[in-house]
Amino acid sequence: MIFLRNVRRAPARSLMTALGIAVGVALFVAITAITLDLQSQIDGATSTYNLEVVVYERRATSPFSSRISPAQMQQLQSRYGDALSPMVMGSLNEKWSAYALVVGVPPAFLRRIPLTAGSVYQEGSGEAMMGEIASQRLGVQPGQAVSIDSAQVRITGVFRTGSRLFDGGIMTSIATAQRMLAREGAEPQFTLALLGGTKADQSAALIREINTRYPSLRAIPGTEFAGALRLMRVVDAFVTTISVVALIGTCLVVSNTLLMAIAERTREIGILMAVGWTPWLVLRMLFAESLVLCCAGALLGNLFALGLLRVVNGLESVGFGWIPVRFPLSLTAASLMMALSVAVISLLWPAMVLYRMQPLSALRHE
Amino acid sequence: MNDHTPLLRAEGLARYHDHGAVKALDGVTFETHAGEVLALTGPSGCGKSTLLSILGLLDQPTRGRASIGGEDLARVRDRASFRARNIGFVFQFHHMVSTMTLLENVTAPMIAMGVPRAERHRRALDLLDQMGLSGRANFLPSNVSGGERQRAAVARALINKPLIILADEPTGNLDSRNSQIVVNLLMDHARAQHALVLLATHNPDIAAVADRRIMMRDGQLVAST
Repeated sequence: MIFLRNVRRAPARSLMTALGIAVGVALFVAITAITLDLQSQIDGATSTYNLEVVVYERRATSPFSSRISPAQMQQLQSRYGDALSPMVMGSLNEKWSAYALVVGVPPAFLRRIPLTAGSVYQEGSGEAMMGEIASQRLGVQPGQAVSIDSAQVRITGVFRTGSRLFDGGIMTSIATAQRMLAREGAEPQFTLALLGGTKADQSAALIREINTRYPSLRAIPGTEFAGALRLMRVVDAFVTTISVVALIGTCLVVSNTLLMAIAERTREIGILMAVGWTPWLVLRMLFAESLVLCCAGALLGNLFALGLLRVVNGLESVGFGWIPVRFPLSLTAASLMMALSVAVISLLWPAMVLYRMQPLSALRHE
Repeated sequence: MNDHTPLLRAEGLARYHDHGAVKALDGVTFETHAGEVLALTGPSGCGKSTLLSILGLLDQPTRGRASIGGEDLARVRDRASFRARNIGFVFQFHHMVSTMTLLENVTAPMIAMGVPRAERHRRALDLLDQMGLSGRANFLPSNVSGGERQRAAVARALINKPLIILADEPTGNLDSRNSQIVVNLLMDHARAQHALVLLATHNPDIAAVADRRIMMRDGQLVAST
């Protein structure tokens, strides 16, 4: 294979180019994997727990920063009864986890969540259940205590939701969670109101009703919850920026390599043109080389991304459950498509050089 | 076109550089027929290579005109395709692509013609065999001798059965034995294909095998024998 021999012609340069592409691809894959995972975890949780409608404070920049007063929650509960479940949610920086997700839900909600060990906590008893990932990472068993917000909380059971984000935190009663998450001196608040067990057309009517009847609240379909998170929008923008920068960077690296190859092989390109090759034929040969480098870089980049995710996942400062340790094949496919785009885009400049090249001056090139 | 019609005609060909200060070629006129072997002789810098470059469509004349097979070279739009179909080049320093095997180097002009891979390989292997290189087909140029490289270059020039073979000092880098082998192979195959050979050389022994000799000096033709 001519193109493989050409790639091997300058092995160090080819290796450095492939590594450069790999770094760009690894960044793209790792960051996209984190975003997709976060989104799919939130989406998964809302669909698993049958949450058709999520209600949060209208002026909140995201559902996580929402504050619903006890009076408002009482109004909602009296109107929607058992279909509505209040929720308190937030994260704490604790010794045992830098971002410990704390979720306060009524015992009725817990019927939907399978326990892997122990039992459900009692209301108002200062007890909590720990997610499976947090329990494994900390080696905490039911009956043991952990320190949360300077108080000892007894772990009564271990739950598994299937969402690593939740399984890396704790669940406790509404009152306990409110106490943990409330700012000093502030009145305990609710974060969300969740409505489940309704049909699609009923959900739409409910959303319209809540948005009309309670101007200070916003109701959205559960499927839009992840998209409503400001964090997700920021991360999306960040991922797009990183992807574009990675794409441009890798294109420049590959372009530079191809231009160097043209400069080194000018006389040989002149020979090929003399025997009838068009710039297009020469470009086709360069494209094969570019494709080999980009595919090698993409595959290496996927391996780097896996390693990177595992390392970051192991960092205590990141908290449990926030970083995935694997990613879907579709992301690998997307990274290969990115590599293919790089292989094509990076040919633009070399193509201009080739189309301007005169066979005679190329043949005389020293 | 019959045998009496010139295959190649040059009329007042000139190539100037530096706004006319350097006259690499200055009013060259001649014509020649298919199957002829024409030796271009003369000292270095007399314009032999410039003349071959213009006739090979690698360069354009400042003035004058040339035609091959009745086709005016100035009017050729697809010059690469014209070169691939009608012209075979043999250069002084074999000019092989270093990352291509001898077989791949010989098939290169056929790639430009769009010849299918299987046919390319069959024809190239056959010609390499005739050049005594069948055992070297899959060798890179760096792994064969200078004489073998130049024989492969001759095979590359002949592979598309071109109308004209332009050989610029094809033996300039070879010892006398290899020079003789390469020239004999070139002549034999060119005559078999009824191709016109324009052979630029310093070597009087090589020039002696030509049907006609044209001597050049200072960009002009000064004698024809």
